[in-house]
Amino acid sequence: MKVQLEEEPGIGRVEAGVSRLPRLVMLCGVFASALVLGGCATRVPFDYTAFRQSRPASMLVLPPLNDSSDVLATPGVMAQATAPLAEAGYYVLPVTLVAESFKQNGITTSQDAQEVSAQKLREIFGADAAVYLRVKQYGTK
Amino acid sequence: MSGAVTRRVKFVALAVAGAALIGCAAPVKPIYHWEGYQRQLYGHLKGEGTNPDEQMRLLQAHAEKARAAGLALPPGFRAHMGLVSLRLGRDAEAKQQLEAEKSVFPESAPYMDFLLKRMSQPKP
Repeated sequence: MKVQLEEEPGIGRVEAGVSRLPRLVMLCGVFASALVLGGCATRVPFDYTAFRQSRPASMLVLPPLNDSSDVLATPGVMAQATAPLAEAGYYVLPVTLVAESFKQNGITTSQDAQEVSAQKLREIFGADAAVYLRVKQYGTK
Repeated sequence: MSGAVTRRVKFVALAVAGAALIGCAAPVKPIYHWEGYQRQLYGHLKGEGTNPDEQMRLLQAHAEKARAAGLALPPGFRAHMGLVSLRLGRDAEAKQQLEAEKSVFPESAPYMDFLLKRMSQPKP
């Protein structure tokens, strides 16, 4: 705070009453920056280095695994997954057709779909990246 | 003198508050026209008995609305429409829709080609 005061000539001489202000401001500042940081920021940092380096353009959303008690979590999340990815600039393979293709190849569960090798997925869908989702909680609580 | 300090303080406080407000929000105009489309995908994935005729009608209405508003159709929309066409037994239309997906989104080409190839195979 002292440094800041000295930057502007003359301010160092202000009376006690005013010097309380900067302290308040600093408190505000700390609070606000915590807000700024806390607002966007996140939980555990995940290492996205390899992902970024490969610069994927298209994404294959695989049927989500479901740990919740609601069987509708899988279709629910799969139906909603395209929008955020597409709005972020990725091409997302049509989820209904993807689900259909799995079914036609005898793969009827999300578990099985997520266990298909990356190589095989690439062969059929030709996407740059696959999105593996797991629903832990679904619906209102 | 104290006036200058107050002014400065006010400025800093405003700047900080501003930063806090715009930090995350910043509403961005969506790239694609989504409205209701995801609900349709959900219905389809759920295997709910919405009949393909009704689905096609909704999809066409959606496409029409997007066109009128000058908004882009989401990735996968045309291909999904193709799937519904297929359910309706309109194979030629389905092919066109898959081709349309491919030409609008070249990233879809490998998968669309895979599907088109399957469609052209004689059905067992």
